[in-house]
Amino acid sequence: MPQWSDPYDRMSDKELEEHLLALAAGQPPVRGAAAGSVVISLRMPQELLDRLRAAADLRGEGYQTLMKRWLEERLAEDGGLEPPPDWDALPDDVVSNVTLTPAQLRTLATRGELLLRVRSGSRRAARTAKPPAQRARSKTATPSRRGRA
Amino acid sequence: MERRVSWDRGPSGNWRHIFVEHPERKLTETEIEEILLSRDSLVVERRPPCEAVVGRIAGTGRLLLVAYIPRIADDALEMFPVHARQISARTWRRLRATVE
Repeated sequence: MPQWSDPYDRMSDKELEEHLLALAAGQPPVRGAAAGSVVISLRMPQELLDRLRAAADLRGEGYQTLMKRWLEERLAEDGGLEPPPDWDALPDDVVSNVTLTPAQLRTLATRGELLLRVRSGSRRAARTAKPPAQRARSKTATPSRRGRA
Repeated sequence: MERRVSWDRGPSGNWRHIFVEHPERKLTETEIEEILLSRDSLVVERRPPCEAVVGRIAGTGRLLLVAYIPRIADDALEMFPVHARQISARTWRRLRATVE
């Protein structure tokens, strides 16, 4: 155990008692605080879920609780702000050898991080690949415009 | 799955911190291990990477808070204590009442 610290060391007996009483009053022990929580739908590989459940069983807690705690720890470590790779700093021979799979291209386009311009035949056929979300917005926007007309 | 308590008896280890730096607390390894290994202890706070539990020593009725760092080692849950202190019966009752 290379690095550790005592989070309660600076508290006097009285301060610790007050801290625990505050926890008892406002944050029920064991049951995680649910205030401000939102429900999300998350697709996860079965094998990863199995490993997560096994790790949670070892600790005697729920896998969702463990997952949230680990996410909190990771975000606390680096603030969740790890910078993306600096492409300008990479040597040209490395950049020129980068190959993206169709799935990666789709992901980048979905995030709006890549603009694809596909040409086939004439210039009229040229089109700009839009992210699916943007296309979906366009589709949903059409009925409302029609509705007004 | 096995649960065990981990002690580092080096100069900057947890054993020295808990027993040598705080002799006024009059704690023993047995007491701390009993609280950590008891299924009846209550988790009262998670302050990553630490967790804190409170529990009662069976023989003496002494009430303790123990904070530790959990980690998986060799397919076992290893608990590395970093803090231990006696708490009052009033606080213990309040904490239990919140759970029950």
